[in-house]
Amino acid sequence: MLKFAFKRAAQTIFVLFGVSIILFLVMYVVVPGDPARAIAGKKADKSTIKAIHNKLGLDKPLYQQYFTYTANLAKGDLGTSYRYRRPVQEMLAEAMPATFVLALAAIIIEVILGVLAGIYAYVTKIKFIDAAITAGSAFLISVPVFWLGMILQYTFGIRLNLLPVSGNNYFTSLILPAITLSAISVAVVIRILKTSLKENQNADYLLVARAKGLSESQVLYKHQLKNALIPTITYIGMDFGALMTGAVATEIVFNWPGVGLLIRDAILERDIPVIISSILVLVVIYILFNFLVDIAYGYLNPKVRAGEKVA
Amino acid sequence: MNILEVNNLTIGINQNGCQFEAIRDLSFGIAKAEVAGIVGQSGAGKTLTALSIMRLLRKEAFIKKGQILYKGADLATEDMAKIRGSQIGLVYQNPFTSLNPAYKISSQLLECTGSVKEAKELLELVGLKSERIFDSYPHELSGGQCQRVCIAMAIAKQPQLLIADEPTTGLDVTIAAKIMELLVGIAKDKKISLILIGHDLGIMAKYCHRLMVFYHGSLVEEGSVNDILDKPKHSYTRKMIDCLKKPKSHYHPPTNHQLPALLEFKQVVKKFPTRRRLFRHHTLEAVDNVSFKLNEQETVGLVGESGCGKSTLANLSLGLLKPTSGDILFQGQNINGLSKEAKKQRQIIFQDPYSSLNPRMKIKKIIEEPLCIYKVGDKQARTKRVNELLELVGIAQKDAEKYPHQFSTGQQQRITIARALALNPKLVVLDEPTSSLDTSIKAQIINLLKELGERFKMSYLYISHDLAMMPLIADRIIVLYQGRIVEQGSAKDIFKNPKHSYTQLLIDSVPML
Amino acid sequence: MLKRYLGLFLIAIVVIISFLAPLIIKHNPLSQKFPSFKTPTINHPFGTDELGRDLFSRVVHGVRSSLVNALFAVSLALLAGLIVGMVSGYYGGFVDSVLMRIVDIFLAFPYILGAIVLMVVLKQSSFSVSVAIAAFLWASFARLYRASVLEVKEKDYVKAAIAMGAGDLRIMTRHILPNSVATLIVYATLGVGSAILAEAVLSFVGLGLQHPAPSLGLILSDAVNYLDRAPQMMWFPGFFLIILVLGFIMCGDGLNEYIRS
Repeated sequence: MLKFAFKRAAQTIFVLFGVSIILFLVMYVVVPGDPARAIAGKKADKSTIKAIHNKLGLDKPLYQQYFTYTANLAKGDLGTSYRYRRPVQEMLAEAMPATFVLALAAIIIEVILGVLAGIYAYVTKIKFIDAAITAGSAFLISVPVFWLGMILQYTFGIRLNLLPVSGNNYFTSLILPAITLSAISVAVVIRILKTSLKENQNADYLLVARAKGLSESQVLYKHQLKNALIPTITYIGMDFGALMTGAVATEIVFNWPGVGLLIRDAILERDIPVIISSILVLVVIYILFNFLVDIAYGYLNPKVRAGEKVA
Repeated sequence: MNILEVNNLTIGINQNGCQFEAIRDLSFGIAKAEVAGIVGQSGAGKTLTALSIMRLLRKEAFIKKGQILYKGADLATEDMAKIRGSQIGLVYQNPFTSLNPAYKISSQLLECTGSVKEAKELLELVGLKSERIFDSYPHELSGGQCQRVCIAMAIAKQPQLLIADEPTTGLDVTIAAKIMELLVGIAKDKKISLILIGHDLGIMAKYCHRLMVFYHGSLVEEGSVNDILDKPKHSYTRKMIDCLKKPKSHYHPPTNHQLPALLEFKQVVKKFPTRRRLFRHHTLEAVDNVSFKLNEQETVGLVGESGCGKSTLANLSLGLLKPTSGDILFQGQNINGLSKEAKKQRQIIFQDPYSSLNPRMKIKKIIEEPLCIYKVGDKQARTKRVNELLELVGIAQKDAEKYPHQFSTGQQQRITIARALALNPKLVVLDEPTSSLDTSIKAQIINLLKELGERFKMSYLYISHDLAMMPLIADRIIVLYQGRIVEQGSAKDIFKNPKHSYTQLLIDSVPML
Repeated sequence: MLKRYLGLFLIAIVVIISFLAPLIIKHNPLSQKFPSFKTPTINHPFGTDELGRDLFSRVVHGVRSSLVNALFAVSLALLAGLIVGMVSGYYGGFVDSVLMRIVDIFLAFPYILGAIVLMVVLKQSSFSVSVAIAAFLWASFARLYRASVLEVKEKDYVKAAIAMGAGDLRIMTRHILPNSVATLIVYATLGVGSAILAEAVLSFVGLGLQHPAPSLGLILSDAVNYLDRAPQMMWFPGFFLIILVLGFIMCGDGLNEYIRS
């Protein structure tokens, strides 16, 4: 198990480096136009530009620039916004809590609604309900998040005038964005749970458990569910990172002042350091979450704990 | 009074919208404290019978008519929760999948017994050291240990009837024998009635008092073991008995004239780096200091249980793996530097014919492929050769345009033989070529191989776990145990006076009459 | 059985509408000569938008560009995934490790975010959109395809071909490819669905196609501001988008079932 954790940690560090290289290249090499000019403004003369070049280290060889870049990242320096002349880390620190709260609310909905509906769809004898849940979740998977947000906004905010359609003022303004953000995940959880329940319904150990004299509910809730929950829990764990990143579109629709809105505004302003660094932070969160979930999965699944590789 | 009475049982199966009867009009009884065996090939309805007694048939199967009486009460109207486990116990086919991988053994045992103490006593009863096993997960145990745990669970509530459905599937012969002895021993001690289900008449005859022979969903014959073996009435039973008798009655005549060595292993060692996944099923078998010779026109049988290094040897002899140390010579040349011409001389035939034929290629293309690879002849010559080969193995020429799945398993194996022969090889490695075939077809394929081998002066390296088949084809037998050769000699010598204790064990576990 | 064809049917409907209907309703998707925010009429089946453009022609042209961009992106990703997956799976060892670590890095990006990063630096055109999507889609294709190559590689017919002395190229093209390509096609079909979604998201956040080009994501991003006055700007592009995505997903699932049976 320890070996597995070390291996995963090494892999994660490698991936983080890869990501930083890609983003570095995008930011400092491929970006059209001179960043110094973007910082200094259009009217700056040559000597100012040169001074900025010197200050940013843009006249040094590429690999040195990369080292400076990563060293700055390690220090928590994510660059300076072109538009606001503020450190990006400050702007992110302001926006991050809102995104975190949104993702957390979404994951709570996902766990409760997804797991219950998944089990219910599997257990129910009423074919219609099963079909409705299954079809509904298949449909949700193909709906763009932002469109779903607009529909909810239109129905509950404009037509029924029940809930606020934007902002971050009250608990009630969290409801619609959280439902929007969790919708696809709920659908996926239902699908995964139902499929894995179905997949192991013919497992020999269930037959043996019945032959031991256990009741149907003991067989379902003890033997069948635990095995079926493993992929579901893995998915939910990884999903938190994904929800943080998926929040971008939701935040735009609901004007929710998180990282997504920050990115959109930066896109409109062509404020490249803000865009790239925000995305860097989201990707890092996503990667770290995957890592943590993998480790936790190892504890859940005895086979991984023993050091086997489970695909 | 019989403890179990099955009357006119008919089981239907729904498959893709059609319905058929998998078991027809089955009636039998099980007496108190007897060991009754149900024998038949796969698909004969043995497992369905077991599951219908437990009322655990899969969704698609259902009892069409007939009744099952346990102590005179119809099980259709009984509360099965009170019967399963406490009255009738079940030991199921595959020990690896019979235990829930997510729970420790302790937790699964405690579902059947009241106290930890009882559970530990049970483990000792089935011959397991309770402390270590108790806290293990199923995947940490060997197959034999898993099956012992399953037996412990099945007898925990002291049932009067125990059904063991092919309880040794996937286990090595030596372990299988111990499991069978354990089951029969427990039945005897506790005076439980035991229904043993199996496909191997020889093994069943050894452990049962009475046998029931199933064939295509019907009970075709039943009686005491001696009656069935001495005076079989049904042709299928006779066929099974014939298969058992063959090895003793005549040995394949050994070739006495010495021919030069074709394949030679000189102190070959193959080690695999310790792999992170310690999954038993996939552990690659190492080979330790193996030396032997395979002469021209000779057939050497390589026998041993799974994991002994057989497949590694097969791969080594074809150059698919490289030895860690030692030399492998083919026609006197080191196998690593073989010329293209020499490579053509070696072919292999695998265990499962279907998976060794590319499902997206026509038979014609499959047989032609070796010719294409070595650019033998033009298109016309190749087609002619393909037709020739098809005729040799007994496949109609018009079938050349078909795809592999349109043939029976036996025919598929004939096709792989045709492909192996295409380049007129000197050496053919046969990796368990008959173990996925039915008994009657087995013999046909062996005979075909023998005939072709003699006709085209080929050498075979015949690899199998089945010692019983060896004398039919092998001139010499090599016994492999844990990567080492423990014994080699003529088939007759090996059977008559085995020197190594492991060989003796193998012979004992081979059902022979 | 029905489900298998339902996906194809949905795609067909959208394609037929978007390619044939403009022959009857001939408005220029860019012309602003109509009154703004008109509700649907016979002449303007979907109404008009804030600048008085005919919404129907804008949606229909948006569907076309969505389809074309997504298909192009998936073809690029498919080609890269096929080659990398095959080489990685077949040769294994060092080559495999290097390729898979690269794939790891690309998979670490939730791929919409990856596409956003690329779109920030690429020239904004429909070609760049496809490239940006493909740049992060190929990695999952490569990973999935490698798995099926590994599976097929273990089959006895491949071992038999190796034992026969067949060359690498022959084994890859004759034995492995025909027996593994089916799964890749399933992923690709599902991939078209997600590429369409990704394209819409990119346009929605302002990084895909730019005004005034007709694009579903762009219409929807305008619609956010006019929900109270012109809900038709939300409904119609959304429906078309969903039907298209659903069509491809169902088609992929159907294909998958067909292959397995």
